[in-house]
Amino acid sequence: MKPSAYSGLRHLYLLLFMLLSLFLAQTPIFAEEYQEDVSNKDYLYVKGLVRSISPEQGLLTITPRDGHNITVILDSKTEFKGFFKLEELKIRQSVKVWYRPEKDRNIALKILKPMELGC
Amino acid sequence: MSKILQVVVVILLTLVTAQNGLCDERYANDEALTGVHSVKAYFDVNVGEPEKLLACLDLIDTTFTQLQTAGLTPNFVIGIRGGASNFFTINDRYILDIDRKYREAVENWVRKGRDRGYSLEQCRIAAKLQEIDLGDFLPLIEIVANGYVSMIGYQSQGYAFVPVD
Repeated sequence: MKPSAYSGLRHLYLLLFMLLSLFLAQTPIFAEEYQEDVSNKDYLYVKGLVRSISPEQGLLTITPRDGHNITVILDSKTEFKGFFKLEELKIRQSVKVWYRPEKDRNIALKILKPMELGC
Repeated sequence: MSKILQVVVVILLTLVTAQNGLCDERYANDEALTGVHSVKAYFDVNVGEPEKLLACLDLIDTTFTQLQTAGLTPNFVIGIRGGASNFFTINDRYILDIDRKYREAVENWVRKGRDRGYSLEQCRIAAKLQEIDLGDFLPLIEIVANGYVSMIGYQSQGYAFVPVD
């Protein structure tokens, strides 16, 4: 194979690799996907109002519409959507939370602050 | 106590209360109300923080009373949307436990508002966004299809638009 043909083929492989990476990044294979209104063996889902926030301890307590308050603890992997840090949430703010219950605590997997339309 | 002393005490008391704002009679809206015999207003209530909400509702009452005192006939429409919606409900499903007393206070306010002739309207879209069952709103509240349409409609009818947020 001529050097120029080899170089062209290498560029093609590189392009294919990049396209494949972009495609996979947009699919649930790479990203954690949590479904709304669904609890399963991997996580539990709760929607409610923020009852209290403790940014220092990384704790968030939610009052669901029906049921008891749930406190979750954030870790470095907790995913935020609609906000960037816990301090941004306010008491009475509506949130959706996916969490994984452990022996003595609930690990927050994802916290979503729904869009506010002002309506 | 001598009569002179009594007069001095009354004068001093009047001065003190006037300076504290307790004696509001010296303030008026004469210029604004010149030639006005009746007023129509739409209050856009969009406050989700309960203490502030109650303060705003109280201010609406004060406005109503002052207009009446000025000899006018107020016609008020209270449009409810946003976070305020949660407090105009018949139960505590949509609020925090710490806010129960505020919801009850709002309920009392609505009851008194009926006596004043207020029309209360809840935006159905706001209720839907906040997932409040329409059947859970206080019975004195009328559900309207779209609060924005109400605002536009009432303003077109000559209602003053008063933002409460």
